[in-house]
Amino acid sequence: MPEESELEVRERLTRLWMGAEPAVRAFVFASVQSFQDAEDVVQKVALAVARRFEEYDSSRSFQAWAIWLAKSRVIDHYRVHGREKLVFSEQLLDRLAESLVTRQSELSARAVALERCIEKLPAKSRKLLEARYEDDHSMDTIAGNLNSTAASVRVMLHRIRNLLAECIEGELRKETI
Amino acid sequence: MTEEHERRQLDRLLDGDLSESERQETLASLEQNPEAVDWLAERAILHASLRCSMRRRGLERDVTPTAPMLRTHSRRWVTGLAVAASAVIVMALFSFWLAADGDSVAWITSVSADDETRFQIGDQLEVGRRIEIETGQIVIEFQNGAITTLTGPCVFEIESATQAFLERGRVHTLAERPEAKGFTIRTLRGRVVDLGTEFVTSVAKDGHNRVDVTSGEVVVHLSGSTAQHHVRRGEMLAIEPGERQVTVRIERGDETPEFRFATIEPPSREDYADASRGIASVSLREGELSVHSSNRLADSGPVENLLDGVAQRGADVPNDSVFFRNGVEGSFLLDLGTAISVRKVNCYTWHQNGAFPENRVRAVQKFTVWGFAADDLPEGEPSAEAGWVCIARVNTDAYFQVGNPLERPAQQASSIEALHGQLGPFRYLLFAVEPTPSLGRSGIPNHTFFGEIDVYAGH
Repeated sequence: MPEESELEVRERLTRLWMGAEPAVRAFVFASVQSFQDAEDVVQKVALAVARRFEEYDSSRSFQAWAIWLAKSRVIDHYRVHGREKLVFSEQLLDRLAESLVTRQSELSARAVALERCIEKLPAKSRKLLEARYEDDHSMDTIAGNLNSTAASVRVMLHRIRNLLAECIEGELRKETI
Repeated sequence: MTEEHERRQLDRLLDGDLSESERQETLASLEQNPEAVDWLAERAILHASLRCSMRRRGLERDVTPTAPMLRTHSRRWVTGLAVAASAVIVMALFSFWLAADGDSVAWITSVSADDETRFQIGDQLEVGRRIEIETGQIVIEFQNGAITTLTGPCVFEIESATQAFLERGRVHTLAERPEAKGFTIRTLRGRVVDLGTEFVTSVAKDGHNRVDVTSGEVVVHLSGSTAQHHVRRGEMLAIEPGERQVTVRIERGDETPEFRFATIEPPSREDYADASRGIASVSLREGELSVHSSNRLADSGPVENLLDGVAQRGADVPNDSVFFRNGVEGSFLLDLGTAISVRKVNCYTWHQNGAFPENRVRAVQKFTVWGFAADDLPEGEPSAEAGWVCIARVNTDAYFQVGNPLERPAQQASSIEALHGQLGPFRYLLFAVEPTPSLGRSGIPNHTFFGEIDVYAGH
């Protein structure tokens, strides 16, 4: 088998990474609660994936390998930030990784469905999502801005996420019919 | 916990919105429930996707507020954006990859605190590169996969793809990958060679060197000696200024009155200093014990408890313990009667409040042990100039990497031995005790509950 050129290696890495990135991102966002920190960790995982790509055994799942690297970066993140403790045990991280790997095939379709579902939300709900996910506001800050309480904001966000999850399932069912 | 309540809590977990106790409860529930882990995985996908989507929508609003074509979320467009988002990272990967020229042997993977302006993630480090930081942390990954975390103040130099020199400060090394085996941290006093492990090397201003092994094993080669010293998980090798080579082993106990540890023996009536032998005595050199409370049950026991052959009977028994009054500097002085060859010194502590799990502040061992050989003790602070020998410095919080009280073992033992032969011929041993890092109700640092000190004589 002819050896891959550097360009071919890069193309292969790009393709594999784009397929694995949503699951890696979900894994990191579940394990590291601050958006900013989680995004830094995802970037570090991407760097590690590129640097160590030659170690990747192509007979195995790239996504599982990338999540394995992500696990090390998450543990490093907590080690560097000394006083914070790792939120999940290593066993729980492994189980979360396994669960995400089994969902790989549907992640792209889910991302597309999510966009459609966000459009269906009432403006008020979208504003709440903007405050939480775009502006990175805490429950207390959002509550202050809405003259509401943090408990109420929590409930509203939970319901919006439930609605989105149901909507995404509906959209995916439509596609399979 | 109902399923709906559990799911609400998992949403809050993802939001970083749970209190510590709620988080512990939620994690405990997750450990028991594989279906909840699956639900969390799905929710994490939604959570991460929402972050991407809402951020992107915000950018779209800011950059092209009236662009109608971007309002139409066709599948092709959305997929295109997703590809673009991933491609941004991939482009970053390639620029990093291509920038890694032949001279660099390591790179910076994380920067925190004050040094972010001088160092950037992805900076390539070549042989001879010196890194000096006053505060914060920098993580450096070497080509062989060894990951070093520098904590300021620290002066560190890259010597090769597999070796670095620590002039001063603290470096944590994680060398899990097989290729990282053999990674070496060099100091002026010797070299620490990894055998597949995790260890912390530190060099103090006064030249005190220390290696703590968290897992696995390292080999220490001391300068001017051909001998090798294996330091294993749970052991600490300290090299005091001068030529004394001392190991300090620190272990957590089984939290029973039997004080059982992995390798350190329990408190003993057979040691040289035990009160039953009638040779040694113990007194306060400095400070006062905490015996002024209105509640006698909360008072320290007498200092003689330290040599009575047993430690505390329970986790929170002040009268069985010996502890200084809050806020004072204190030291215990052991008089061994005559100068003897001291082979080993063990120290035991235990404290855990029964009602409040986080109240286990008084088990930490933080002290310096000094030895003095002659009969006539000098006045004043112990110092090398006055003839004292600094035997070892013990800090169990640093060893256990305690960030909050719940990470601190409630029952602890430290065991100090010479690497070869004896710690020294000493008549007196002085334990200069530092307070715990926790403040009492009055805001003054409180002190450790010491249970027993055992001194073993050499032959």
